[in-house]
This record gives sequence, C-alpha cells and structure tokens, in this order.
Amino acid sequence: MLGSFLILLAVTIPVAIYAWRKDRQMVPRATTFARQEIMRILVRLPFALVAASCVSELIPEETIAAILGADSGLLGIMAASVLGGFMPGGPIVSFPIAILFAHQGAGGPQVIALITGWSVYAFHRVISYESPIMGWPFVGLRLVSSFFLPPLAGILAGVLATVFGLSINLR
Amino acid sequence: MNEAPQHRPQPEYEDEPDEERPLFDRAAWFFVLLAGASALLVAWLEGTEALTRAATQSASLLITVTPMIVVGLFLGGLVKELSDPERIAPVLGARSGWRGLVLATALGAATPGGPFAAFPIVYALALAGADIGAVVAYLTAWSVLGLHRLVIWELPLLGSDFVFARMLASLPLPIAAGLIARFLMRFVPDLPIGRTRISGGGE
Repeated sequence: MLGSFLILLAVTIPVAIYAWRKDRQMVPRATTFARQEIMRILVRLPFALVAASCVSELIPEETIAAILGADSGLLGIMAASVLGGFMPGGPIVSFPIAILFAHQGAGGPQVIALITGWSVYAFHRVISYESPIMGWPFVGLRLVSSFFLPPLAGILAGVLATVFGLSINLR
Repeated sequence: MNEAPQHRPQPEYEDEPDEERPLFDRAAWFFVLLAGASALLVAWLEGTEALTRAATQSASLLITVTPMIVVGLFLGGLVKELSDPERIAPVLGARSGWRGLVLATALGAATPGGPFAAFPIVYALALAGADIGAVVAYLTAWSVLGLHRLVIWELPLLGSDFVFARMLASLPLPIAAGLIARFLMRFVPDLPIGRTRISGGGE
C-alpha cells in the first residue's frame, strides 16, 4: 500500500514540474479541480464503503465462490461480465464491491470480467450521461463494437496469469 | 461538418458548473440512505458482530484509499490541464489510422475523473472532428484502463500481479473496439452525435 502511494508520488511530481514549466497557471487550476473533486468524494466515500462492506457481508461467501469462483470457468466469466454491467454508481461503490468479492472467493478472471463489464457496459452511465450527451445512435454503435470485451478480458487475463505465473486469485 | 440541423436540445452538462453543485447533493444522500439501509439489514439478519466487521472493513478501506485519492486527483487535474481536445482532435482525424487509435487509447487511459468530466471531452473530440474509431477507443480506454482508478483502488487492494494481468489483457481492447466501430461505420450512412454528425458509408 505504501509502495503504490510512493509510485503515485513518483509519477505526479515530474508531471507537476512539467506542467508548471509549461504554464504557471496549470498547477493552481489542477489544484482547484482536485479540491472540488476531493470534497465531493470525501463526503460520499465513508457511506459508500459502509454500503459496499454491508452488501458483501449480506451475500454469503459460498454464493460468491459458487457463481464467480475460480472454478466457475467460462460461465462464471460470462455471469461476472453481465453482473458488472448492472453494478450501479461510480468506482466509489463498484470497486470496493469487486475488491471485497475478490477477497471472498471470486476468481481473478471473474473479477477482471466484473470490473471490465462495469466499465464497458455501464448501464447506469449510459442512461445518465452517455445517451443525453452522445445520443442513442452512438451508444448503440459503441455497445455493438465492445460487447465482447469483458469476457475477453477475463479469458485473456486467465491465460496471461498461467503463462507468466501470476497469482490473480486472491483466495 | 457542423451544417447538420439542430435536431435535439443541447446536452445539459454545460448547465452544471462545478461550483454550483451543492456538496451534499442528492447522490450523497443516496449513499447515506444506502449505507443506513444496508447496515440495518446486516444488523438484523447477521447480528451486530457482522456489522462491526463491516464497519472495521470500511474504516480500513477508507484509510488505505484516501491518500491515494488526494494525490491521484491532483495528478488527474494536471493531465486534464495538459490535454486540450481542440488540439488533440485533428491528430485523431478520419485518416489517423492505427496511430490515431493508439493515441486515443493512451489519452483515454490518462483522463481522470468521472463521467461528468470525461463525456464533455469525448463530445468535444467528436465535435472537433475526431474519427469514430478514435472516439470509441478513447471512451473505452477511459473506462477500462483508467489509470487513476488503477492507482487508487487496484494497486493497493488487489496487488501488482492482478493489476499486471488485468492491464495486459485490457490493453488491446480499446483498439479492437475502435477498429470494429470504424468497420461498422461503413454500413451506417451517418451518425448523429449531439449537434454534429459523423459521416459513414465508406470513404
């Protein structure tokens, strides 16, 4: 955890220096953006995390393992992709749920399909942002172009994990 | 490109300046209610011990994620400042080929923030003349590869093996989606996007 924080700092500092040298106004504007977003997130985050933890507490671990476990194979990957598409809200709730599922027995490829399904299908985002801004014709074209991505991500990740000997099943 | 008649109302995101949205808005109340309801349900069905467990888990997640969010959003703000749709769109035009798709994927992955931050950029790209494949690749990369989500959530909580496998498996996906979108556009006469149209039907 400390390691990821240090990596993040190591990326941020050079970018900040580059932006500052390019245009002195960029850093204050970025700070304003960050401050607004942080306040908004910090108001919601504690409640979102409590909700996510309670949801994962309510779903029995055996159910998670049976539907999304490492042994659920291709069917589990498909189920995870669709389930991901219906997960509501931004990363603030969906990521904790996916992470808690992973720690409670969902398989790595299934969790990856779940996260990708949430990001690609994103039915809540289609209804609240994409269709009003981009229009339904674009939504249709995008969904047809990418409906196979979530299962593919899960399958590919499973293959890669075997090839490179990565441990992606957290349980 | 912009001579198409205005056949739908302006997208509404412009009416929503950040400063004027109240901090504790309806979405925040939704989370409060969701947390309250699910906590009550846990206490009722599983007992107070399970509730304590959930609370401890939430607290440790909160402590892990908060510093990442603070730095991650600052980095996001910098990337947002450095990438200007007006300047990028010409590079992503109809004849941008493979390079356009790869560039759109990289830019999408680096774009921070939620849909209210990303969709105005996507729309601006389409308005400024980016090719449909690039627009689809950008949007897919923003949602699937999103580097800010990766550093905030996945790296600390799922580990580097998981992140490595997921990223490697997902890298080709936005490009695949972009290529398919380009291919499909051959069969569509033209595609309305907001107050612009992207023409299809081949060259």
